[in-house]
Amino acid sequence: MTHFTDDELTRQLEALRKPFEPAPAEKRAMHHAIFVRKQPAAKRRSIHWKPALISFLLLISIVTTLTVLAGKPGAPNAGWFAKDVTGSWAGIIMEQTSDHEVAGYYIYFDESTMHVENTNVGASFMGNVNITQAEVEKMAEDYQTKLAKMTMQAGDYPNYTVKKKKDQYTITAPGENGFSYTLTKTAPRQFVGEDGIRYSVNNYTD
Amino acid sequence: MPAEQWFNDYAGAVYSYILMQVRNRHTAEELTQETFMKVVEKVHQFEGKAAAKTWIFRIAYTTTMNHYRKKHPLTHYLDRELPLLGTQPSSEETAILSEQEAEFYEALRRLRKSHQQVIMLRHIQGFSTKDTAAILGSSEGKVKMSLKRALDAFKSELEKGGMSRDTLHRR
Repeated sequence: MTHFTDDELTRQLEALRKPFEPAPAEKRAMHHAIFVRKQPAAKRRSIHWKPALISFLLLISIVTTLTVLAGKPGAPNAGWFAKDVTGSWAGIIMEQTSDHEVAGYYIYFDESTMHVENTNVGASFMGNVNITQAEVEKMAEDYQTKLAKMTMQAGDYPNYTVKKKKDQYTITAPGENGFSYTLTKTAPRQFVGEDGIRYSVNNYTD
Repeated sequence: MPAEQWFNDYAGAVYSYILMQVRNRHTAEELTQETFMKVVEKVHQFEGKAAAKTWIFRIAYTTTMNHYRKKHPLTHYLDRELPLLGTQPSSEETAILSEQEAEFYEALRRLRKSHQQVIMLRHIQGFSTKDTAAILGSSEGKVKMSLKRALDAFKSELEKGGMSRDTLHRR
């Protein structure tokens, strides 16, 4: 057996290209696809689970961050997923419906300020003729002590916020005499405060 | 438009280079189209440091390698075709070849992929060693060494199939 020389191999290999070249019709079709249609055939892209999972986790973290941030200003304890519903409380009148020994709240929310009035004037001891003056003074002092312990004090509270989490509503009044008071909605226009005092409102709220 | 002129000049060569590797006319057509789509997109990036044909073949080479990486990862990473992984189309199905051409082609196919590349580019497509190195992203020295080994292996494959100088012109 005589071995091929490199030149012989080269000649044979050069000749091999020709049969693999495209037919004129194939070349025309390719030319049309590239220069006339110009758009490559749309390819179905398979979904790769890793980038999809990373994107999903990223989306969740962005949504969570935004939710926490949205619930933050003025109501740090409103926390996760608390919705700011302050706007829907403008014009609401909330009136106490249950008896309480020191409080008789009448609260009006306007667009920027919450006005708290206490209509209880100590009727239980005032005008009672069967007790002594000393007893009246003692009862009045007790009344003032109990009143001072109440979360809400009569006054005007600008820049209040109302945040809702499920059926819990947290009213926050910022400032020196500010407070935070949580109500639970028990019926469409009925609430009960964190201290057990019941209220009704004049209109439906968010 | 230079891309269209380049298509007219080199599409046949690019197609034959790809078809010899993929053995399927439809796939070769798609990959040739993909190659020239990239040429059209990137024509402004062509700096003229190499001949346009070399630049286009570099694109054709990477496009075909990407195809193998996606569709036949084992073949790509092992640098060899695995006959057990499925039946390959015969050379008759790939192109109309004489008996002698078919034997040369089959011998070429039995080589390692990297050896096939240097033989196809240097001897079938007629590129210089420098251009072959540019297309393969390799050095000239490596291409020269690889080509020598590839030709030795090719001769050996031909002889295994009973091909020699004695039989060459008798067939």
